[in-house]
Order: sequence, then C-alpha cells, then structure tokens
Amino acid sequence: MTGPDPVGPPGQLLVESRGPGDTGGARFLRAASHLAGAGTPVTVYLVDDGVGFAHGAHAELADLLARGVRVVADGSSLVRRGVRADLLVDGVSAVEMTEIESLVFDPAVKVVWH
Amino acid sequence: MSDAAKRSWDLLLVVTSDRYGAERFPTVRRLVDLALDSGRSVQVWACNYANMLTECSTKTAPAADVCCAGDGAACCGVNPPVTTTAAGDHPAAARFIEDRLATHPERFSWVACSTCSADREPVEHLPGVLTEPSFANFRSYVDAAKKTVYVGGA
Repeated sequence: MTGPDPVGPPGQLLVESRGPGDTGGARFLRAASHLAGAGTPVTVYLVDDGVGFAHGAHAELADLLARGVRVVADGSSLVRRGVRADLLVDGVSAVEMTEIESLVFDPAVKVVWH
Repeated sequence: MSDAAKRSWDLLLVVTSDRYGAERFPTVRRLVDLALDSGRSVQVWACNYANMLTECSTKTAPAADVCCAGDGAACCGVNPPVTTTAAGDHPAAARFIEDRLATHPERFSWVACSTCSADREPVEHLPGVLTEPSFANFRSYVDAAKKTVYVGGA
C-alpha cells in the first residue's frame, strides 16, 4: 500500500497552501521553524500557491532549510504555475502527492494544513 | 447520525475553507483519489462554502416577458422556480463527487452541513450525500476516523 517514505520520519506534516504574498504563509513557515527548533520532526509540504516559497529568496524558507527541515514542493502545483524544477531553491525537491501519502494517512503524524 | 458515520474510516477530511470549497477543489480531489487509489477509505465533511459543491439549488428564473425590471428582479412576483438537477456552480466537482459515491460506496462518503446550506437558501444535495445539522454529531465522525485532517484553515 505504501512505498518507501522519501520525506523523513513521522512527526508533523505542515502543509502550506498560501503564497508569499499572504502574510499568513510566512507566519506559518516561521511556526514550522519554531517547532523544528523545539525538536519536533517536521516535514513541510508546499502545495497550491504555497509553492511560491520554493523559488526565489524567502527568509522563512531559508531558515527552515538551515534548521535541516525537509521541505518538499508539490509537483502538480509547480507545473500549474509554470515553475520548472531547476528554479527551485537548493534543498527543496519536487514530489507528487503520492510521496507524502504515508504521512497523510499515518495516525501518528499530525497534519496541519494551512 | 448516519450509518456511514458509524463505520470506521481511514481518513476524515474536513474541508472548511472557501478556497478549498471552490477554486482549489482539485487538491481535495487529489487527496480523495490518493486515499481511494491506495485502497483506503475517506469521508469528507464539508463546511461553509464547500457545501456549495453538492448543492442542488432551487433558483428563481427571470421571467423576461412579465418582469418590468427586465433583470430578473421579483418585481412582478410571478417568476417561476427552476430546479437544477446538479450542483450548477461547480459542475466538475459535483460530477467527481457523484462518481466516487457511485464507484466507491463503501470507501467514500461526503457529508454536507444542512445548517450552512440553509444559511443561504433552502437546498437539497446530490443524491447519496449525507447531511448533518451543523457540528452536533461531528465528534462521532471524528471518533469514527483513524485520522482527521482539516484542509484550508483560517
């Protein structure tokens, strides 16, 4: 039913669907940083407009990556917005939704979808 | 509470935001299919604008030949009701929900909030869609699911 998990161990899956133009998006990523800093295993999944954080310079994303947080961007959302994989910030990888399947359905993993 | 709520579900997906109840429905659709394609079960609880995805509204059509305002206003009081047979505002979403209800009746369920719907106008929902009066029984749905995920958020 599930393949190897490419996005890390259970903990919290934080899903950001709002783009950099929404202050709530940046705030959510800062919260993810705080969680990671407190020792919670965190995976950040950027989807819909959230993939806007995956390219260009964004301090919140840089901070997440500096803390070693695994950040992945939804491939379909990237394609829909014309963002090529080679434009992604170093450290962010494109994944399909199937690749976070195990985290979405694992009762031990808290999913916070913003 | 319906029998569908009493069953055990792998995932309860709560769609509360106007964004995911409208233009971002494709992401909800992908989540539902992710569950179904992997053999899991998923129940969707629709709240607020997401209820519009399954609403079959009874709308009042303009009667141009008798309405003096000419814009559909009920100035003459004789505009006939026209009942739509599918969710007119979001036909693609309605078709998707109808299809999954038909093809996965044991592993897919859609719950609409009758209170949210009634806030706008009296409506019915697509056949097969369950309705609940607001959050009165919501706890039962959460308890019936191995996991609950809210999509959208404030």
